[in-house]
Amino acid sequence: MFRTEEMDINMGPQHPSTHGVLRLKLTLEGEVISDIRPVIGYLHRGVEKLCEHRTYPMIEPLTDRLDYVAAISENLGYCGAVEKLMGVQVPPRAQYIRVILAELQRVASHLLWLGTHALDLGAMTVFFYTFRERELILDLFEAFCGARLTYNSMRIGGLYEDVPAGWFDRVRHFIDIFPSREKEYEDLLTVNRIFKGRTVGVGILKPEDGIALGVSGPTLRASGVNYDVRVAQPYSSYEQFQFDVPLGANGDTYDRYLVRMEEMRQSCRIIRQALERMPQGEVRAKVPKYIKPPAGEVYHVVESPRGEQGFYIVQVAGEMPYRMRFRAPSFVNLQALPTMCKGQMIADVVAVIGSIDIVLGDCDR
Amino acid sequence: MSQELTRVLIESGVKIALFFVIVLTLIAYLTLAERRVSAWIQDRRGPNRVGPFGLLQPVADGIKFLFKEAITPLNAYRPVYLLAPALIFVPALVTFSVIPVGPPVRLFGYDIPLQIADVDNGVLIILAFASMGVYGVALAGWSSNNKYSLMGGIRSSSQMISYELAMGISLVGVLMATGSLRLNDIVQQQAQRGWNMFWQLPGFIIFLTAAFAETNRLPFDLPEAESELVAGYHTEYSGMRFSMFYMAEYANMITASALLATLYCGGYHVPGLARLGLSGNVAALLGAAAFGVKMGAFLFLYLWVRWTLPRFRYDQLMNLGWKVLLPASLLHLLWVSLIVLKGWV
Amino acid sequence: MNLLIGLIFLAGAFAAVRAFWPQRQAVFGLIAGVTGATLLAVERAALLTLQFWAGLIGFIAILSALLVILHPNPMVSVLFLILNLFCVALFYLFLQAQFLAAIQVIVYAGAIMVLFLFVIMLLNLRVEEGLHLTGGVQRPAAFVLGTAFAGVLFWAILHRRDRPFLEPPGSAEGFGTARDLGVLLFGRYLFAFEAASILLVAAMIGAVLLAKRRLQ
Repeated sequence: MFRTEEMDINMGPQHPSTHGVLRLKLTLEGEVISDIRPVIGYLHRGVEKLCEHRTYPMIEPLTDRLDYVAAISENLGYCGAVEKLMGVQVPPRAQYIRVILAELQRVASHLLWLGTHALDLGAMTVFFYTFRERELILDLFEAFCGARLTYNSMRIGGLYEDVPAGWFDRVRHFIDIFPSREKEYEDLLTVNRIFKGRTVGVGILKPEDGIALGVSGPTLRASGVNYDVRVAQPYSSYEQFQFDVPLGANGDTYDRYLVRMEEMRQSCRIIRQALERMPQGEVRAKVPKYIKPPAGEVYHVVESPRGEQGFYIVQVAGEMPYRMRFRAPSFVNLQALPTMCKGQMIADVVAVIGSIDIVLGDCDR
Repeated sequence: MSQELTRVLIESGVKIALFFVIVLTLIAYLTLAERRVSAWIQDRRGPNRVGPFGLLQPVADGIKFLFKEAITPLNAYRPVYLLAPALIFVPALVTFSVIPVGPPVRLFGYDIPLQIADVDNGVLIILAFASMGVYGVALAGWSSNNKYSLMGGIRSSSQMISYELAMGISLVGVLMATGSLRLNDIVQQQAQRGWNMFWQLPGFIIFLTAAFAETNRLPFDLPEAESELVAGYHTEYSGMRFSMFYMAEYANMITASALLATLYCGGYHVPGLARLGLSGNVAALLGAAAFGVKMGAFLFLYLWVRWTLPRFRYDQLMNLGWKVLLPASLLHLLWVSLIVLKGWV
Repeated sequence: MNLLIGLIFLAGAFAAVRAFWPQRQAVFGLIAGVTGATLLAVERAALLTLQFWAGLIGFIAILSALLVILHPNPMVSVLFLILNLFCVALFYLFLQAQFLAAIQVIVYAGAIMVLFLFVIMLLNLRVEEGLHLTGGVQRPAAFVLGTAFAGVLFWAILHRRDRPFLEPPGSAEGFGTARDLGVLLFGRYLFAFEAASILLVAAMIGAVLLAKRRLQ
C-alpha cells in the first residue's frame, strides 16, 4: 500500500555551496544520500587545446586560469615542466623566491578554503577573518607582480625580475603575525563542539580507497598516506628545506581540516627558512628569446594546495607544444566524492565538498 | 455604548497602534543592528552610507523590497503561496500582545497597564501562537513546489515541534513556582523571590536553546540553511513577500527575547527600585526601560551567537532536542517540583 | 435582524467558496465585502451582541468543515481543518473556558495538525490521488453511519433545551481555569485520565515498532 520514494535532487550548477559550477545529482532517501553523481564540465574552456596554438611563454597566463585560487602553483609547475624539457637550470635565488611565492600561495589558497568551508558549515565569521589575512598575501603578490588573482608571476628560466625593495620584510612581517591569526580561526573551530560534530567521522576516505582513486594532496594525507610531491620528488630546491608533512589518522573531514591547518604552519616555516638563507644573484637563467624546446616528452609534477598537479608536454618542433595535458588534482580528487558521501546526510555533502577543496577551473580546465 | 467600553476600546486602540509602531520600528532597526554587529564582529564596517551611521538603511531596504518584482513560480500553489508569508508574520507579532512591558502607569486618572491584554492564560496564548508559526514555514516550503523549499519546510516543522516540547516543559517549572499562567504574576513573583534565571538555571538554559531553535536562528537555522538548501523554505520568494519572512524572523527574535526577559529575568522588575520611593509613573518608566535593556541583551546574544557558531546537522539537531533537552527539562521539572513542594524558595 | 445576518453569511460563504477557485475571487470578495458593510451599517447594534459573533464563527466552522471534505487538494483540506479547530477554540472562549481554548489551539491546531501537514507533505499526494474511494462497501456504510450520527446529534440538541447555547455553563469564579480543570482531571476523572494516557503510550509504542521494523 505504501511505498517509499527516493527523491532525486539537483545540487547545482547554481547552488551557493558547490564552489562554482559543480552539479551533483543526488538521490536521497529522506535526508540520507543513497547515490551521488558529480556532473562536471560547466567551466570547460578547452585550455589543453588552446595551448597547442600558443607559444610557450604565451601558455603561462593560461595556466593562471586553471586553478585560479592558486595560480602561482600552476605557474611554477608549468615553468618547471618547460625548464625540464629544455634542460635549463634555474638560478638558486629564483628557486627560493619561487618557493616563497608558492608557499604564500598555499597559505592563501588554504585560507580561502578554510573560509568557504566554515561558511558551508554555517560559521560565517571565519570567512571574513581568513579573507583579512588572504588580503595581506594578495597585497604581497600585487607588490611582486602587479596582479592579485592571475599572476603570470614566473618566466621560463626563472622570474621576470627580482622582488621589489622591502618585499622580504613584508613577507617576514606576515609570517610573524600569521600564527596568532591562525589561532583565532582555531579558537572558533578546532574545539568547537558543533564544528566537530559536523566534521568528525564525516566523509571518511580510507587510505586504500584514496590511493585506488588517485587522490592526492591534503585530502590523501588526511587518510594517513605519507605522500607529498615536495618530499617524494623535490623540485625548485624543496629538498633544502626542513618541514613536516602533516598526516591525519581517520581520513574524515575533521582530519582534512587539521592537516590543512598544519600545512599553513609548515608553509610559514618553509618561508622563514627561505628568507633566512636567501641566496644572492641572478633571478633568470639564460634562455633564448624564442623558446623552442627540443623534441621530446616531459612530465613534471608539483604539490599544489589541492594535490598533485602534473604537466605533460609533447614537443615535436617549433615554438608551440604538440600536445599539452594537465593532471588536475581537483578533477581526480572529485572522484572520491561518491565514495565519501554515500550513506551520509545531505548536509554532509557540502562539508565533504568543502573538505576536498575543489576548484572548478582546475577540474574542468 | 457605555462609557467604560468606549474607554477600553480607545485605550486598547492606542496601545495596539503604539505597539505596532514600536515593534515594527524595532524590527527595522534590528536588521540594521544585525548588520552592524556582524560587521563589528567580522572586522569590517557594515552599512554606514544611508543617513548618519547608516540609520536610514532600513528605509532604503524597505523601498527596495517594495519595488522588487514579486515572482510567483509557475507551478506554485498560488493561494497557499500567497497566504504563507502572512501566516508566519502574524503570529510573530500577535504573541507580543500579552507581554507586560512595564508596571501600570497612571494617566488621565486611569491605571493603564503597559500590556495590550492582561489575560489569565498569557503563557498559554504565547505557546499557542508560537506553535502557529510553523504553518507559515511549512506551507511556504510546500506551496513553492521546489524540492529545496519542501525540505526546508519539512525540516522546520519537525524542528519546531521537537523544540516546543522542551520549551514547554522548562516553562512548566516557571509556572509551578508561580502557580499562575498570568505573565504579570510571574513578574511579581520574581520581584519577591528573585529572578527565575538564577534558581532555575537549567530551565533557563533549555528555554534559551529552544528559543533559538524556535526562531530558526543559528546554530539552528537548518530550515534556511544556505549552504545546503539554497534558502530553504523561502527560496522562491522575492520582493515584499520575502521581506515578510525576513521581518517575521526578527519579530520572532524580539518576542522570544521579551519572553526570556519576562519569564526568567524578572521582566520589568528592577532590584532595589522599590526602596528608592519613586513616584508611580517614574518607576513604571524605569521598569519599562529595564525591560528594554533586558530584551536588548538577549537580542544581542542572538546576534552574537549567529556570527560565531557553525550550524548543526539535521540529525544532530534532532538528537539534541529529543535526547538531551527533553530529558534534561524533565529532570529540571522534577527538581523544581521538589523545591516547590519543600518550600525552599 | 436574523435575516440580515443570514444574508451576510450567505455572501461570505459564496466568497469563501469561490476564493479557492482562482478566477473571479476578487469580484466575489468585493461583492461580499460591500454587502456585508451595507448590512452592518444598517444593523450596527448586531456588532456588539455575542450572538452575532457566535453565529459568524459557527458559520465559519461549518463552512470550513465542509471544505475539509469537499476540497480536492488534501493540503487545503488540512488548512480548513485548522481553521475549523480555531473556531472550536473560539467557542470555548465564548463558554468562558479560556484554558481549554488555549489548549485546543496548542494541541490540535499547533501540534497535531502540523503532523497532518507533515505527512501530507511527505506523501506528496497528487490532487487526483486524494479523491478516489476504495471498495464498494465504504460509501453506503459511510452514508448510513453519517446519517445515524447526525440523527443522534440532532436528538441531543433537541433534548437539551434546558441549557441554551451561549449561556455560560458556569459563570462561577474560576471556571475554566487551569486550576479548575486540574482539580477535575486529577480528582474526579483521574481513572479516565490515566487510562487515556496509557492508551496513548500504547499507541506510541506501536507506531514506533511499526516504523522501526525494518531495522531488525
